[in-house]
Amino acid sequence: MQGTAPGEPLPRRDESAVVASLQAGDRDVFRSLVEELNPGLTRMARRYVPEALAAEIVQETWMAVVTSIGGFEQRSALKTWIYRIMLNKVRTLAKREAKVVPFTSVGPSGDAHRPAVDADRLVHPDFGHGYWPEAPPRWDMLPAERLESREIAASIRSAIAALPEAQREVLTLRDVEGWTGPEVCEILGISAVNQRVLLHRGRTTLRAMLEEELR
Amino acid sequence: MSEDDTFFIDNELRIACADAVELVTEFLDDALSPEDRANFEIHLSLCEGCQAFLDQINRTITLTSESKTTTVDVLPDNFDALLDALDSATSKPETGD
Ligand SMILES: [Zn+2]
Repeated sequence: MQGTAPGEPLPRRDESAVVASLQAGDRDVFRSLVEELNPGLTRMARRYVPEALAAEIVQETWMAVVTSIGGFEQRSALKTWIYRIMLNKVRTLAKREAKVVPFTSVGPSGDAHRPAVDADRLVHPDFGHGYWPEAPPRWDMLPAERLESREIAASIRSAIAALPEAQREVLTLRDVEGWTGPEVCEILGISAVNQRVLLHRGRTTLRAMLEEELR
Repeated sequence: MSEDDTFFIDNELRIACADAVELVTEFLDDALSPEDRANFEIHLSLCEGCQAFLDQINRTITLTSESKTTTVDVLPDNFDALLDALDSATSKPETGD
């Protein structure tokens, strides 16, 4: 883990040497690139399609990288370029497969304006609407075995799968894969404000789910 | 802004909890305007509910990153084919000018 605050752009690595090596067919450089990005690409692809299809998409993505690296002009980061290739493929496929993939259409839709906390939770006896009547439960009192259990991890994964697509994409890149805000905006082609709104909706949905689960 | 803000304008909490909980992600990204940030921080320092909420969100973020599945291959199955393709895609044609 690096000590960089989320949302702060990472100092962009100078990738020209890496790109030049790839363009010259350097197998070792290619292998380290694949080792670095393949797990994240695969996890991301699995958010759209079942595992077997995701593996195929990622293989096709790498093939496209190999055959078009010669024309890559570094207008974006290498990682961004590769993720975009994968996302274009997987989104097209997910749309086509939408009828057989159960989770793509599940989940609350059109909830962009849903508040972070249900309005009826925020009614204080004296202050009225908009104020906590009592603090929500403290999770720091819970034993670590409870909080870090497999059940909780599994619940989080299915809650992510049930998020509306745009929220799922942003939340996966930011909070699962650890990308910065600017990186996510670049790869998904969305504004910083939109990125934060989607992330906030996703996070607050997961928080509400965990609160139920941990009560 | 919630409808009761006008009633509690100038209260020492600065903003309603309903507004504070919407600012958390921007706060964590350090993306609030100086004014919003000041209001949020003052509210937070006085409000146990929002402190607990912020703690829950931070824990949600940590747990989300820990939920990452690790059963993913480092190399794709077609890696050898990729290496071959890399060779042929990048082999420089003999330039005889
Ligand atoms: Zn509050």
